Amino acid sequence: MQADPADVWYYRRKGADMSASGLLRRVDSAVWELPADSRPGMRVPVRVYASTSLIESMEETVIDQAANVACLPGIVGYSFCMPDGHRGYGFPIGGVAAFDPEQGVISPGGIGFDINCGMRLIATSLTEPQVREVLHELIDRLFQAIPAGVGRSGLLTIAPDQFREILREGARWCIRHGYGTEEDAERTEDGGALAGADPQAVSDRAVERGLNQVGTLGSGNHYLEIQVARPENVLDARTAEILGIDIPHQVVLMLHTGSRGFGHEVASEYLRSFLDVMNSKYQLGVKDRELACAPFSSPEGQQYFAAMQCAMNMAFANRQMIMHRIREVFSEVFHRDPFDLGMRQVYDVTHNTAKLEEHLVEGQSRTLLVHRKGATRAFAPGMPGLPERFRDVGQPVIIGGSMETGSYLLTGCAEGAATFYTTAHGSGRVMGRRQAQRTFHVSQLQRELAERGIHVRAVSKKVLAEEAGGAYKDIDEVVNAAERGGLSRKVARLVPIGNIKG
Amino acid sequence: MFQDAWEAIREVLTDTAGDLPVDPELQRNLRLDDAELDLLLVRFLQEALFLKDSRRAIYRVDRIAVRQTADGWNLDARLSGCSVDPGGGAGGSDVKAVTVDQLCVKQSETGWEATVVLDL
Repeated sequence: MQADPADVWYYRRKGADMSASGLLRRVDSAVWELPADSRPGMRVPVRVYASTSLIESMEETVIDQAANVACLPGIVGYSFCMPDGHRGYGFPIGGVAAFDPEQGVISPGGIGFDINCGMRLIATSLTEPQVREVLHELIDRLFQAIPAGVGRSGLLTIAPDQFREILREGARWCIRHGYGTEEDAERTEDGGALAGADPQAVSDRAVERGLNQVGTLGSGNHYLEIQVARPENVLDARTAEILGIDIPHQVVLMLHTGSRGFGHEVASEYLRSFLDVMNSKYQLGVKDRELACAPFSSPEGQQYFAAMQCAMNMAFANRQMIMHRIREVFSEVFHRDPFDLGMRQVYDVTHNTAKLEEHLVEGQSRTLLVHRKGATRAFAPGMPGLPERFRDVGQPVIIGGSMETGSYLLTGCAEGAATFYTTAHGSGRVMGRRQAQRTFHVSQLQRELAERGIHVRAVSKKVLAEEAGGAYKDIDEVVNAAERGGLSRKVARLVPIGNIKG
Repeated sequence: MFQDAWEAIREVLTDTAGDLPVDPELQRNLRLDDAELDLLLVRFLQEALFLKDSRRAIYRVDRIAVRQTADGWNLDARLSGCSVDPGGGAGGSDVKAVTVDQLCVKQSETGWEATVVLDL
């Protein structure tokens, strides 16, 4: 039977226009597939979750990169790309791949340089009118209180041994030292601390690089945003209430940052060491050096897994310290205890990870190493590993949009089993930073943001153009595709009123 | 080429192309080696990121010598640095990593050329 042309999307490859190797076929309303026999070496098919307009705007390199991932040893099921997928290094951003722990590999390129880059959402009992009155003061004070930009010192002055404690304990170290509550940890993926972290797997150089960075925002697409859940944007009131979004025009805060230079150093060092051994010792050929990998069960693979979990813990601690400072600033501005202001964490998710998880594969329960790079775990209701408070609604998922367009709170759902319970992580860029600088004018952007009631402070003006809403995909299109594909369900859309950037 | 690539990273980090005031106390010697020339360049540039975070300083290359050896390549460099403004940072865009994506070092008729992609 002839396929409906609307259900087939060709992407142009150099010298192979409209060839069979460049054919993606729609297999469900928001799911596209590149068969495993499309390219030499592919062990599994590629599956891309996207609407027609998202797939049409996706760079061809994304499909090439997902196909390269499909060639890695031990991959199980599919090489996935989420609706916000865009070009990455090695794996695409939005790339998801699960590997057999015995036969498969671990790859820093499947996790990203910013290990445990993630999102934290903090509720308040304040409403938009209450915050509007002091919005400029709040943003200005947050901008002064939270180190952002290049080379800034963090909120903690600690010795290397204390930093290594953080690598082992994650957010729990901060809580143990008075920078948060036990409930914060319960509302963090993995309780804010990965048990497999081993500081011995981390170089002194990485420790030296990260020592001063606990409690720093960074720059680029990292931000702290004040947002509002307006009644018309609360799409599932019951679930929203369970998650803590239960007041009309409620103000929340969204934080996006990761493991900073420490995680970048860990990833860079292990990528380099994997390049040394993958061919000579393990005969692993890859189609892109950014896919450097080692067998997961090898000494090198296990060492990276332990070091990577240290970087995950550092990132959880980083977001915990920043949240502590946010609570202090709100307390100073409103002259009330932060917990009287209802400043409770909704959830903290990571979107650059590799984790050992149990999944059903062809009816059999298997332990798999799931790489998620620019992709968010989205456990369904009732799954083990979820805190009791989320057992009925599923794991909260936080998807950040641009400073202009808004963000989403969602939850995982049962149909997510198809992608090892994974969904999107953000809007996904549609243009590079340099192109955005050429396309958007900072002064016009600032004027438009001000007219819309969004107050922004940034260390570098250039970053405002780079992070303009037009540089990103349409966030509504991304979350709708994720919902149509059965990856996650929308709970509330959150609109920005203030933002600080590095 | 190595020095020019370092300068390019320095421009990204500081958003300025001009000289920065050098702190006489922030002087370093650097020696690196690698079997591959392109990977030596990556390691060299990663040093700029390491110093930015660990010393909170932006360094420039005063002099550098790159040599081919029996085992590959090595370099000796003299660096001098400028402390980052503790209140406002270095003013540019942070660079997460020097990637090996599309990495290319080649000799042309006019000299050496390199393509290096940075993760921002």
